[in-house]
Amino acid sequence: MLAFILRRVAEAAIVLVVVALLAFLLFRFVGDPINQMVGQDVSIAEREALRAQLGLNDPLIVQLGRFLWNALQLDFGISYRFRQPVMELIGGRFPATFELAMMASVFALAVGIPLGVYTGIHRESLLSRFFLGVSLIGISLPTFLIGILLIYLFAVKLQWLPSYGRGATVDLGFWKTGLLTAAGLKALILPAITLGLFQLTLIARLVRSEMLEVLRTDFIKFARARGLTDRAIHFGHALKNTLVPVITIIGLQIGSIIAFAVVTETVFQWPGMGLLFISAVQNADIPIMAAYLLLVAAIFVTINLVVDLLYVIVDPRIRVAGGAKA
Amino acid sequence: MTPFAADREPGLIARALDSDVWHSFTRSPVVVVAAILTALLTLSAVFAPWIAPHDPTDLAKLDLLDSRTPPLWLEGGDKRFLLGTDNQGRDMLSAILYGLQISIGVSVLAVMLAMTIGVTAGLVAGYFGGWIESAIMRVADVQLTFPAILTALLINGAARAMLGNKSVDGAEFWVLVVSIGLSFWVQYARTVRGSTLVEKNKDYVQAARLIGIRPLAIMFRHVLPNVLGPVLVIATINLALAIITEATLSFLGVGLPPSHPSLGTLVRIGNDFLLSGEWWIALFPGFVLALLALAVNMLGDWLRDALNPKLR
Amino acid sequence: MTERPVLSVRDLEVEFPTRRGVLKAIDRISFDIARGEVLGVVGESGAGKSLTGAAIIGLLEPPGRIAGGEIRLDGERIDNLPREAMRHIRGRRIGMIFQDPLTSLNPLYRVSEQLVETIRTHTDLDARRARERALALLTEVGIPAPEQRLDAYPHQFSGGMRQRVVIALALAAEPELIIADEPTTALDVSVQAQIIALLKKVCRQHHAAVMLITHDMGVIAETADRVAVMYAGRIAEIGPVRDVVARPRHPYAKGLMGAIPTLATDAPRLMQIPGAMPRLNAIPAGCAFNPRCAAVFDRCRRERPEPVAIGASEVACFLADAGGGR
Repeated sequence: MLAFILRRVAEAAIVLVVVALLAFLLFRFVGDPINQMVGQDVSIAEREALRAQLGLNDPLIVQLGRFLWNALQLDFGISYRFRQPVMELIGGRFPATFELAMMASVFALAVGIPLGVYTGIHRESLLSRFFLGVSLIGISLPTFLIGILLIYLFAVKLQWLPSYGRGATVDLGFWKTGLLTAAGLKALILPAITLGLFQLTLIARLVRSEMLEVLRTDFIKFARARGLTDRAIHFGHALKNTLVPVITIIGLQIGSIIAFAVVTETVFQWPGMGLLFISAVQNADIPIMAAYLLLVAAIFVTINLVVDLLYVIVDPRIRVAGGAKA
Repeated sequence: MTPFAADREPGLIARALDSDVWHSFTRSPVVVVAAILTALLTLSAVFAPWIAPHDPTDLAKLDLLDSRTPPLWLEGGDKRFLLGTDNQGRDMLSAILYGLQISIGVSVLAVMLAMTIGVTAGLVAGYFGGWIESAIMRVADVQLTFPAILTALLINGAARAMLGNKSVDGAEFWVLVVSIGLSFWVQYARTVRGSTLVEKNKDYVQAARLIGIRPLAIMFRHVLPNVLGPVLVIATINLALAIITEATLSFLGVGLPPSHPSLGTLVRIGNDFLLSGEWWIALFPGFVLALLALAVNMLGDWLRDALNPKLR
Repeated sequence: MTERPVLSVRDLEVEFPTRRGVLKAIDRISFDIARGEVLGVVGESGAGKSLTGAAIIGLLEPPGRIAGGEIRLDGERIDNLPREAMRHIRGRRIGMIFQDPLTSLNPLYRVSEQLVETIRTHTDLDARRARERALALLTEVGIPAPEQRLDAYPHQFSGGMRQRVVIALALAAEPELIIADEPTTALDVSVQAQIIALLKKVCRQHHAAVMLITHDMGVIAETADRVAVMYAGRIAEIGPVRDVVARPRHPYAKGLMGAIPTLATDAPRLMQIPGAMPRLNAIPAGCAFNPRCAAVFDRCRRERPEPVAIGASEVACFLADAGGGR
């Protein structure tokens, strides 16, 4: 059990190190940091001085060590474009992305799982067929198109909801939240739906197919033969057995929610990390890109770890097997 | 409905018409529609220069006075511009046709690149094993942790930084192809590696080695046909993903520039005018994009189920 | 047999509508099981043994459906009961044991949870009493150290032990009929005899009648009071086990008995039945066995033989009186 966890932590650490290496290579070799930092009119001597001052003449391994050490302390240098510490920039925008991603996940799960269970149990019903048809469209539509359609419908035509920004936010000192004002909540609705819709259809389809599979198993047949109620069979025995694959996908999906937040934030001009990242890509602002890369990797790896631990809670077989294998 | 019809041995065509693949095709008219739609869109993309009423890439011919003309059937429509014009007076219909060409071009090339890289990496990993395999598959694992769109964005950003600010003409097109191609190779590599591992230990490979044929040549000749089915399925599904990814990157402003717009670029341009009521600039290209992605996706879905029900 | 049988099946028909027409999987079968009696049901795979069991307990997989005939439990018709009423009969009055104990138990629930759940579904016992009863059941089916095993997960039991748990689950609400569908096929040969002996013992103690579905004639000979031989969805011969095993009348039953190796007789070689059982979409007209029968004559190809009483048996063959033609 402990060995299982330790192994997972070690694997996570390896992924992080690889990503950090990539971030370093990106940072050091893609484009010339000095050129990015100073204007055309700075003399060669001054450039060399700056180069030495930044340690760019040190052996590569020393530079890598310094990069990693700084990264551990969440120091990713100065943004080329904003001339501000990268961490300050990202930190200031993290709450916006976090709140958006959370709302989108809650929306996707709260609607997706029941929908999947329903369509799995009543697979021939009209509603199930309708949902399957619509979900394929949902999966095929690019996120930004969904966002644009929602804006056109609810912001331009109906004028019910705002089309961009976070609305009014409350500053809690370390965290600017939009969850405490009506305007902030209203502004959150369209972006959260846009971001969550793809995940919703994915989760619903997954839960559905897992339900169909589990409902065919012998132990469900046996549970029926024991005369258990449909409720106990569907929501106890069947749903619990779909959880392992569902948790896996949900873990991966939280990752892709963060990725697609980039798109949603662009559509809705949502002042989060994604918007910052996009402008960094457009302007080749490498320090921000490197920091974002590492941050996202850290989030993904953490989610994967949590997912692994959740398995252990859900499935008693892993408790034994995982420990034995390690 | 003759009572003994079932007793007669059916002919080849009759049997083909009775096969499950054909049934799954005809039983869902949606798939037939998707196939026709894909063909139509591809044809209009290929023949865009002949079909399009205007040349949207020729900036000299644009007239700002024509800008933001609504579609023909609306108040203020102009019969030269069936679907209206964008903010530079570009004919939307022509821009969409050319954009379709660019979108499909980027996606097809990107998928081909991903396929080439993936199949080669899979063959090499499966055949040589050892540290080469570990290295390739480790990279694949790490990359798989990230959604393809992020990888594409990062590669895109890195490429931009490397090219510097000197914009090479047409560079954006190839940057897109490479960044999307490099984001999608993993799935091919995994599939091909699996088959290679199976094939490697079969007797004929050993025998070929004994008579001195280069085994790698054998791997190419024998493993490749075996994995062609799954690779094709992955490619079709990837094509839909590549179309969406290209559109998304262009929409985000890191894809094709407004001077050579893809469908995604057109939606990006139109997005700025959505609030002022000029919906056609964003929604027409968006609609075509949605149709294309949906049609290809349905074909991929169907192909996967029909060819290989086990493949997820 | 003056006493009313526990189970009475009359002219049962089960069919599967498919794209190419309706397949008749069970074609007019009739049989009774008396209180406390063990009826063995034998036949090749696909003969309709398991489907008969599923039809009785009301768990035919759609699109399969009962197309005709009736099933009575203690004189009460159960084949046309509403869903919920049928659920109360399953587990409470008819218990079922499936082939594979490895897959019959839900891997994510403790054995105690599955037992208590079954007991509480069908009785008014409170949680504590139900747990006591669960413990008593485990003791009864011969689980060593039941107090410690009660809260274990299914994967912590061996195959034989799991089948004991399954038997305990089937018996949990004291049903009057147990349908055991190949209860030992998936087990090690060494534990098969134990499980059969246990099944027989506990069913006798609980006065439960048993419908024992198997293709193992040895098990039938040792365990059953009567035996029904099924072929292509029909009953070829049914009667007291000693008659059917020692003096089979139906040509197919003869073939089946001839295919059992014995040490007692000095038959030079095992008998084989030429050909294979027809598929459901190609059952010949007349007697279903006629293409493989050595004694076939014209009438067999035109007319379906109805069961005729011969001694305590019933045989569906025109030549039954003459001893099946040989």
